[in-house]
Amino acid sequence: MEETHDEGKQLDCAMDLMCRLPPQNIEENMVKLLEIAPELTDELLSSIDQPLKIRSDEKAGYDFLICDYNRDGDSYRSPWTNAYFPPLDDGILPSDKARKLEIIANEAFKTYTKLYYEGGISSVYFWEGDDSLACAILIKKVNNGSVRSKGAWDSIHVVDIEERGRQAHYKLTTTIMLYTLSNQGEVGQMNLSGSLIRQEERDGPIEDGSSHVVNIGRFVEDMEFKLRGSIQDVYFGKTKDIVNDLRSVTSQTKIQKQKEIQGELFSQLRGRQ
Amino acid sequence: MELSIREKIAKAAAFLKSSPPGEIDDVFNDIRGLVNDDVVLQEEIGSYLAECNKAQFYSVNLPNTETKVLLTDYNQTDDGEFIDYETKNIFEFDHLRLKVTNVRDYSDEIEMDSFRDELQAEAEKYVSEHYLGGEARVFPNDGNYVVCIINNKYSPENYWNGRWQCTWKYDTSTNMLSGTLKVNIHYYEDGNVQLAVEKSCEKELIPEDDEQDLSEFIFLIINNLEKEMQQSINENYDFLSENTFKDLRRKLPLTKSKIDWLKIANYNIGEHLGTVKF
Repeated sequence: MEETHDEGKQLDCAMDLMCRLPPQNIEENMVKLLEIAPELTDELLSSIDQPLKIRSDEKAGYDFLICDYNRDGDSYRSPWTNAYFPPLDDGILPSDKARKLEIIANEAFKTYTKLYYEGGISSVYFWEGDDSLACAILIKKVNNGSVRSKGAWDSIHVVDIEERGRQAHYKLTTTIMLYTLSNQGEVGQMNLSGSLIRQEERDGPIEDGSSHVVNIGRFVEDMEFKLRGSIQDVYFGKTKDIVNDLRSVTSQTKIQKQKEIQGELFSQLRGRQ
Repeated sequence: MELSIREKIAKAAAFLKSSPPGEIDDVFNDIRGLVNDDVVLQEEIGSYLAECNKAQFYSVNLPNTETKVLLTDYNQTDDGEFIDYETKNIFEFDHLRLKVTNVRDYSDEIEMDSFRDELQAEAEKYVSEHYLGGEARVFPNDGNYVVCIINNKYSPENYWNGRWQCTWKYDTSTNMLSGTLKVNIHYYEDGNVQLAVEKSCEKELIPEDDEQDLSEFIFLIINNLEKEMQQSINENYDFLSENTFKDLRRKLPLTKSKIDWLKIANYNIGEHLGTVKF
């Protein structure tokens, strides 16, 4: 009992730490964290989102994204051929139902990614438990094109599905990681990076075999729309305001003078009425 | 091979160095919970905390004084004590408990330095004009001078902390002014977003005999260089927002209208799964 309590506390500290340390070094920090607390390896790998990595499905000739949800040992299952890379004879495979949904979802999200990301990669994984159904939708886009700035976007959507007859209840947890690096002008190196997380729930009708994909697709599309807005607001609005709050380009004397002039103008205008 | 407790603490302590503005205590508490050995932690962590406090220009109040003293490499003696050039005192600092102790008069050891005093006066003027709530200290440094400027703003109720920090060195023999600037911002409402800016620059100054004129000139140049850098940050923000971000993910799809999921989910069934029965 004592030990589980300690591990619970230890995990809380590890999670809190990862919310504070620079997201720029998330992978490096994760390695150190696992060396410090190897007993938490499974929990940390499944609860801390890391930048998505790309593997190649040599059979299909397509790339796919890897995460804890398609991992078995050191191999990763491709959503395109259902095969493990590097090959694994007895790798865990999804149930028939999960695999069918997975095939439809992968094709649909490939189209979604083409239309919104113009060149990103997507992968969807479904898995079914005794009394549960869930999926993860991963999307990655990297932009190395400009000398002036580089960026990478990772979307990780995890959906818990609860089937209730002709309805289903969906619980969606979305993490979007955005990394940017720019080095133009007098700025030296400027790195603006991190992740935002949001959770929402929603119901949807079940009419046929593709209903889950339709419901989840709409849900994910709405969520990404909202989070894209939040990212725009937080990254390029709030943190910029804080920078200019820490140091003011205009001197206080000038600001004071401008205020006085405004005040004078105002009282003159009022005097005229 | 599992690491020894001391090795673990050394690894964890390295996290302290990258703690966001105003969050050293939180990171320390996380490390404490992670390594779970207070005795060894207390023995080992002191030197790491000292490095962090100095790296972040931790500011302390001496008892019975209003002014703040910055803890930096430039006002630390070989014995690890800190000098306050304003009140001409020397003191010890307990980095674990964040306590000032053993404050003594040090005026006999501090040489009269009217140029430093001029620079300090200009530094205070400059900070009050451009860094509301910030601090600046000027330290003599082997015949040269170091200006440390820091402004921290903590707003936990709005989920952000920020720090702007610069170190300027004036080399009296070469007339070179060199600076390093660091800006760190942590925004943590439903996530963890951080800005990290690091930049060095230098400029050769025109020699000037009058100490007051030279001090004013140095801060005029500091202002220009810092202003350029700040404007660059703002331009980069606009470029990221207008270009880099838009290229990563569009706000609306290429078709300009939301996706018809019914169509794409079923189209693909027809295309790829004609034989699959549900």
